[in-house]
Order: sequence, then structure tokens, then C-alpha cells
Amino acid sequence: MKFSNLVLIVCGLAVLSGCSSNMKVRYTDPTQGQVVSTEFSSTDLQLIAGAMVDSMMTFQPLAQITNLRQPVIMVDKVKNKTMQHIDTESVTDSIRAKLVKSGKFRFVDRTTEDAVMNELNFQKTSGMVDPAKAVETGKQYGAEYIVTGNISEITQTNTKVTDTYYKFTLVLKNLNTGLIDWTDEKEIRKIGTRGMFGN
Amino acid sequence: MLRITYYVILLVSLFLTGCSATTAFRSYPDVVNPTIIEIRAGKNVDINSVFVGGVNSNDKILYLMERGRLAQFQGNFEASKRDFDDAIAAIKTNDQKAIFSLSGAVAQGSSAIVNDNTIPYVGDGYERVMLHHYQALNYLASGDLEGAAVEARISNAEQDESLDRHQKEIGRAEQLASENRVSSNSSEVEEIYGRMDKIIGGVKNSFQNAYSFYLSGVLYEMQGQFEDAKIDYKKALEIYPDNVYLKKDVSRLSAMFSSNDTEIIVFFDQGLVEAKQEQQIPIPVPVRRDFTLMAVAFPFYEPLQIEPEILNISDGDKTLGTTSVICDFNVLAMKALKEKIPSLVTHQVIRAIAKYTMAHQAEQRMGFLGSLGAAIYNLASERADTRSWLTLPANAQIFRGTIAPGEHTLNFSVDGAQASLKVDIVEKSKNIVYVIKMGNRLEVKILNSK
Repeated sequence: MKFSNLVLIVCGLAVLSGCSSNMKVRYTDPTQGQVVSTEFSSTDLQLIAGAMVDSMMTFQPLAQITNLRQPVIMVDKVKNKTMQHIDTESVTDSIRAKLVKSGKFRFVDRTTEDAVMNELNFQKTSGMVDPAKAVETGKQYGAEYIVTGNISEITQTNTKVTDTYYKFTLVLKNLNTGLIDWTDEKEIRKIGTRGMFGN
Repeated sequence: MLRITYYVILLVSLFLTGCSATTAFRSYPDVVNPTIIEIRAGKNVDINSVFVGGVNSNDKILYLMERGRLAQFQGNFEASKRDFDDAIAAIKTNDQKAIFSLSGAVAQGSSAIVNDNTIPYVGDGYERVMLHHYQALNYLASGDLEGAAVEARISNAEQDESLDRHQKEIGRAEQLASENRVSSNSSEVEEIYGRMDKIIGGVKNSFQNAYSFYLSGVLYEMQGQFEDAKIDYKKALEIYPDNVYLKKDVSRLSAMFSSNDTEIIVFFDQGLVEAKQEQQIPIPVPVRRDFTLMAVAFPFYEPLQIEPEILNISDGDKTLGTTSVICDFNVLAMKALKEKIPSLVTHQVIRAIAKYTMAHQAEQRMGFLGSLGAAIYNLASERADTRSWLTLPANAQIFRGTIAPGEHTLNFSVDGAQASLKVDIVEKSKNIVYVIKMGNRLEVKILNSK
């Protein structure tokens, strides 16, 4: 190859590599699959929360109890054992929201306890609140069940392929007996392949 | 003939202007050293204005790691977290890029006629591991133990991936060498790299480090996962068998004692890792069924045996103990360079052939003027790739001991430098104290108590 041709090619490539394309934005259905990468996505979150709550509701022994009365349950924050910074509080919220909407349970929430204590203290000690209208303490419900969960991940990578496996486990524990009344797991596997050619 | 001269000037000026912010014609340590000298002298650098050109260049990964580390040293954990996040994102984008990419081809193409510094910096295995390690400390400082554990897990996974990547790179270098009929054996090259062997010693590879496994073990223990903690302590002990605290931790958890003690755990980053230097070595280059000697610039480390400075820790007037070395980054950096020699030599020889061909053509077409131009160009462009993360410590040390709950004033002293820290220790808590020494400056921070 002539030297001058080489120079032209190098200069041409240098110019081309500067190209960029504008981002296009549109609205879409949150439950619709959007596979962008092998990372944990909003679709995975929806999938998990939906599948888990359905599984719990349709579990026969539990359905028998919820037909008679509404047990009080507490949902603990899901533990993140993956290699990604997943907002597990949001996963927890989704699960709780779906359980609440089913109308089969009643809920206690210990994560807001600091704010509750502040308010109760204010009612008692500030002198601003009419004692007749203040909340009586010592009458709160205790949870009969506690829901705990964790997400774990196994990822394998080589030059071309990233294979990621997520496992989400949810456990319903009976606080009276200490027994696990229900548990289920949901698995998601994503495979990402690197393109051969691109910029 | 005039047209060719025009192209040569165009080409050279294109690279000179395009690369002024990067290190194609200026060694990387020369760019970073002025900032490091300021830090060592005890001055604070303005994180918003330092390395601004660098973090927007091809080597953004490298400059972001440097800046994140400086921010961490100065106690600005939020800024450090942002920079490390950006570096991690840039590494990910790079790793997920198409296998044959246009921008990659441009960089490889210009590296074939300029030098390896035009290839965007992607981070060595040991640097990637430490990037996540230090990011874990940033999460700890913000009170997010779960986030810290995530980073520690990535750091562990990175050690496995680096092993895999390293083996593939050796394979690629061998393939490239045989395709171009280049031999990577040269006695001069072996001589300068052979000198590093006595420092490297028996270290198996550059990317596994006991420090990161130890951090991961501590984080598991803080989350009550004692089995996982034990596995990581064992891995750390296997890599660095001389550490006294590692031995204790492994035997403690092997006896199934979950540690309910109130403890302080000190992570000590001492000094700064050495920079690569450059040496011109004449190597035989195959041209037209013959060989010619061409001076080629190689990066190397001066094989200095540097004694670690040990940190003394006391609680008021009561001595608590001293730290013990768990990782030597000079050794890891040397080993990393050593691992890359086959591919390095192959690239250098291919480049030397390209430069020889260029010079030969310029001489044929333009006579003396052409060969003078080519010689000047070769002199200016023959630069070794001396890039590496320079704000990493020279070595890392740990201390672990029990402490009574309540208020304490902890004193730290090492080789003339002193610092103290007031802490309020809660019963059965694990208190991580992070100590960094750069120059004569000693910075002490409590990261987490739980």
C-alpha cells in the first residue's frame, strides 16, 4: 500500500470515529420486556414481585387462613447478595404493594418507626396536643407473619458471552410457631452476546 | 514529492494536537507527578479542577481512578464515589464494545505507527480489583454496608475474570507473533525484565490480592455470614501466608467462633506505588529477509527492594499493636508488566517494522529531507507505555484487635508522621479505621461502626 493511502485511511477513520447519534425517547408499558443488558432491570423487578405474590396467594393452606381472617404481616427488606447495586427497598415496596392490594392481609411497617416515635413523643410531651385526642400507646398490633427474601446472582463471562442467573427467594415465617409456612423462588437467566462489529 | 511531505506534516500535526492532553508524546508519570508532589507536601488539591483534560480523554478510566483516589485521601468520599462510578461505567462500556470496533481499530491503527499510548487505557487486572475495593470503602463511609458488600463481591469476581482474560491475552500475543513471523525472544529485553524477578519472587499472578479478600471477609462477618467470611480469609491467607492477623482470623472462624468481640480493624495504605520507567533497547527487526537493529522504547520497573513502614497504634498511652503487611502493590504492578511482555514485545516489533518501512519510503521519495523527517518522527513518537494507576499505595497493611466500649483517643504513628482519632465505641461493634500515608501526611478516618 502506498504511504499516502495509509495516511488517508487513518485520517478518514479518525473523522468517522467522532460520529454520534441522537437519543430517541418514547413511553412504554412497564411490564413489557425491555432487554437492554444482562443487568437487573425494571422488567425483572415486575416479574419477580408479580410471580411471588401470586404464588403466595394461591398456596392452599395459606388461602384457607386468609379466607377466614386477615393475618397481620410484616415485610422485611429484601437482602441483596448480587454483584449489582439493586434498590431492594423498591423490590420490597413492590411486593408489599401487591400484597396490600390483594386485601387478604393487614400490615405493620417497622421502617417508619423513628418518625412514629417522634410523633408519639410530640403528642405526649409537647403540651400542644389535646390528651383526649392523642393516640393511646401500647395498643399497636404485633405481626403474626414475617416475609423475608434475598436476591442472589451467578455471572459467567467470556470474551463474547455474559451469562447471568438471578435467583429470588421469598420466605413467609410464622412468628407464633417459628415454622416456615410458605416459600418459593423465581429464577431469571439472561444471556448477553457482544456484537462482532460496531463503532 | 511535495504532496507526500504535506501528508507527513498533516499526519504528525494531527496526532500532536489530538494527543496533547494524553500521553502519546509525553510520559504519563510526568503528567501526574506534579499533583502527587503537591499531595506529598501536605497540600490539598482541588478535586474539581485536577485532571480535567485527562478525565475527558481516551485515558479517562485512568484519570478517574487517580482523581477518585485523591478525593478519598482528602476525605471527600462522595466525590471519590462519583469518579469511581464513572470509571467503572467506562470500563463496562469498553468491555461490552463490539469485538471489532471502529474506534478500537483507529486506536490500534495509530498505535502501529505512533506508540501504545494511543490505545485507550483499560486498566490492569490488579487495578480493576482495587477500583472496586476502594469503592467498597466509599460505600462503607456512607453507611451502606450492603452496597460495600456488593463492591467487594465484584472485586472478588474481577480476580477470577482477570485470570481468564490474562490467559486469552497470552494466546492472542502468540498468534499475532506467529502471523507476523516475529519472535518475542530478545536477550536485551530478557535482561531488563529478568532483574524484576527477584522482587516478584513467588507471586503467582498480579490480580489476586489478599487485601481485597480480607476486606470482603470482614464485610461478610459484619453481615453475620461467617461461613462466607471464613472462605475469604482462607483465600487471603493462601495468597499472603505471612500475615499474623489472617492466621488468627482463619483459626478463630474454623473453631466456629462468630466474633462477638468489640473490635477495631485498621486498614493501612502506606506510601505510593512506583511508576514505570522507559528504556530504549535495540532489537533486531526483520526486514526483507534480513535483520536490522532499531531502538525501541520499553516500559520497566526499577527493581528496588522497599521496606514497608509499619504503623503503631495506641489507645491513649496503652499500646494496641502494630500493623502487618497483607499486599505489596509494587510487586503486583511488576508482575502485571511481566505478564504482558510477550504481547508487548510483539507489538513493539510490528511497530518497528512499520516505522522502518515509513522511513525507508520517505528516504526513497524525498532523499535526505525525508529520512531526516522520519528520524525526527521516530524519535518523537518512540515512547514506552508508562501508564499505570499511580495513587495506589506501595503496600497495604492490616491490624485487628479488641477494644473496650466507650470513648477512646486512638493514636497512630509511623516513621515520623502522627495522627489521632476520637472514637465512641459501641459494644459488640466492628469499627473500621482507614489510615492512608502519602508523603509525610497521615490521614485517619473511621469508616463504619456496627
